Amino acid sequence: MKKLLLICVLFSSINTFAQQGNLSGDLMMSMNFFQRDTNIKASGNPLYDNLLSGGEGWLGLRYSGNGFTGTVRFDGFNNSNLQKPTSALTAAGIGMFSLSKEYKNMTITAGHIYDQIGSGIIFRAYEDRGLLIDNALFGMHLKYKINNNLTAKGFTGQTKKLFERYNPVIKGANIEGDLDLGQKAHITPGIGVVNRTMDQASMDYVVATINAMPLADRFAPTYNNLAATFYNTLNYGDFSWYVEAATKSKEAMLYNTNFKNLAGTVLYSTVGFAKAKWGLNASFKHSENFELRTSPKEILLQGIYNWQPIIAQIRPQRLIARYTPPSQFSESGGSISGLLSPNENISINASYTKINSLDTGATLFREVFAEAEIRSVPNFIFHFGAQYLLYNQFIYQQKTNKELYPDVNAITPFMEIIYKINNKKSIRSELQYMNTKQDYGSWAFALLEFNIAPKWSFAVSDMYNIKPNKKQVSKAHHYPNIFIARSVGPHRFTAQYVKQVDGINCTGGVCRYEPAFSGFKLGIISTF
Amino acid sequence: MTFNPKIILGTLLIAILFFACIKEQKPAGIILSPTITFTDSIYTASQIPSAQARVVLVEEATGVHCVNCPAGAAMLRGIKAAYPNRILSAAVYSPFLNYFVAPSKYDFNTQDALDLVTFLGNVDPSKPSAAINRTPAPNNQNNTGNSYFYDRNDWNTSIANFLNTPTPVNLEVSAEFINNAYKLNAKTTFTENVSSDLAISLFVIEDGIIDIQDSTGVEIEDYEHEHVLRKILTPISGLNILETTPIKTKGTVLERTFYFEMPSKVLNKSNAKVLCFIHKVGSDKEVLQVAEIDLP
Repeated sequence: MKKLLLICVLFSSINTFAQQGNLSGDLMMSMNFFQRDTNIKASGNPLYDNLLSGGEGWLGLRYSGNGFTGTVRFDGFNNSNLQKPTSALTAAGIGMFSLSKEYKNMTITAGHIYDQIGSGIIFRAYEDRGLLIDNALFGMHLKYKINNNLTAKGFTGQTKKLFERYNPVIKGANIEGDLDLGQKAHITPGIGVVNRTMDQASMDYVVATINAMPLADRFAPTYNNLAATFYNTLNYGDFSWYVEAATKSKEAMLYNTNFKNLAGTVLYSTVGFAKAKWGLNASFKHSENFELRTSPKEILLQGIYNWQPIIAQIRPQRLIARYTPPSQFSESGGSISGLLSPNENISINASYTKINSLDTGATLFREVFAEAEIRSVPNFIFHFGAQYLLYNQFIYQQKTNKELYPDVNAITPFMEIIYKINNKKSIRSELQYMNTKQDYGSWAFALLEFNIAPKWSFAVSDMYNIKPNKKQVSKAHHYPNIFIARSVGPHRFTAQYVKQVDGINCTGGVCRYEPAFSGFKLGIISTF
Repeated sequence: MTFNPKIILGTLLIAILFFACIKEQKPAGIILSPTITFTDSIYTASQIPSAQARVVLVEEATGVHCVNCPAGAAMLRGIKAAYPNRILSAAVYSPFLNYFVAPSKYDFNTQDALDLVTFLGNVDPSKPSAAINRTPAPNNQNNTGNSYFYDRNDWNTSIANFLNTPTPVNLEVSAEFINNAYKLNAKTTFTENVSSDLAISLFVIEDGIIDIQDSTGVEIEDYEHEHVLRKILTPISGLNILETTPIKTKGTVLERTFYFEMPSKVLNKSNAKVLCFIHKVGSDKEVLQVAEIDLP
């Protein structure tokens, strides 16, 4: 009822000020039709066995004018498989709203707040619809521009939990600078601090769990956790350097199956140097016991209010993306890459990535990657390359038997050719082959896409388990995909028939296991 | 109005330092030191006794404001009467439907009760429900929200199943009051080889507490609360026994002698009893044998 009143107030404001402001919005809807397929294990849950269809949608409206911004979003889930791919979620309501006013260097926001400190290591409230992550902070946020070089902000609230909230309270502050150092150098330093205070019910759970542990392992848990960070970006001519160092106080953390009282640290840095024809980039991260949740009771993607940058690069190739490494709360790794463009028709990129576990010293991830893009043939773009990877499936996918799930060693050559028929029409094809003896074995992937800009897009693809590992799969399967997209002005309609192998789905270094999918998908995206 | 950046920065730093220096008090209910001491005596029996009849442990989740709980308690009394001396129980007053409010005289809540339901299945179950020999069942999660706690409609069948299962351990307890402390001897005799890791647990329970109890459509002012869990003397997961002996062979006898004081929660010492039971540890928590003794 309160939310309804608030929305009425918001829209009455919109009516009053509509002539002076701007009203915009966006719609995103998707619909899934589940087609049972026992061969690829797309079965054995209510979605495939009984419900047969489901979907979700978001409608966002935003009004801004006179320094005022009001945002409201309706979220609806009807037998949706988005939260947990094996069960249906049905819920609807106001997914978020916020009211914001900028006045004399001060911006005041109340409602659902999306923001971060630094790169997000100690605080990040964001939305990722692909994994149904929406950990907006519900509360108040103040931002004050002290002068042209310095901005301060403070916030407090609770982390969003679908249409509810986690009970612990989060508060934080951040000061960020923006300074020129002479003619060439520019820095943007910042410091931030975030405090989480657990609620009584969460603490009761923690106490009860600790009391069940052997006496020697027990400890006195704290309601409060404090995390602090310092970060800076330095730009000097063609050189750029970002560094962030963060620490957090001791708190109860779920470590394997028990609680441990652990403090944590993160050191993260990226360095880049770019000239007209070549460039170098390197990144490094050392993360020890660093994970921030509303309470240690929460697992998987629940209750997380920070985010850790990932060292490994996220590759768009379908087969390579199957083994994207998520951030671990204790890991050490680095990556270096070089780009060479001797002329405008050729660019070559090569990189190496190494990530190890800090707990056990185990090898987590290795990647050697090289690619080239050639544009010298008229109307053609050739893109080809290869990747070698080592992926610790036992740790990344939380398997229980290392012998059954050894490290995945794979070599994947790939090729992409784009042919521009004319200014509007183009054909794109992709070929990939992943050679591995582990997990499901070797894969082949082919895609053919025909585009008529800006209205139509057609694509067919197939992923085939060409040399299956019989320890994991009984026989080879095809995973076809037929896709059509139609754009009409600001509206984009999509339809596709999909068979998708089970595996890890990652977005921005955050991953979850998703079972196989089989069926039809319809989608609409629209902005106004 | 203008602000000096140094003042804002300094204020923030002072606030951080101030906050970082504040030390929290320990949360209520945390147990960091042992509440009980004991000594062990281990030997081999000259003659292996015959196996005792199995006694079943029922941990009944209940609450003062649970209107169906008096009926649940009556049902449990009926089952006990049908199988005399074969069922022992503790009434676990965990927080759900058990908030303390006037005109109730006594607060039946204990941290141990919450610890116990959390230890068994992470959730305070719906009530009335009961853990039976600490064995989970597939339907329990849907029925009560806790895989270890059975809906009352399942009590009779589940208890009867256990009564027909032999136990590999005999358990005898005795107690005396010496030097203002209680000395309790628990004698465990293995009548079969046992390879599981085992532990022993002690509950102090109290009978005969007269106080208000909600019931269907009526508030019972003089309800007699029985077998009320007052204190778990051992760690929630139990105290390991014979942990260095992978296979406890037939004929092995462990006499563990405990020393403890009467928990402050107990209202009337003459109504206090100790429930003592031997159980498995780890993911399998099955209770193998239970005994009960009045405290002198």
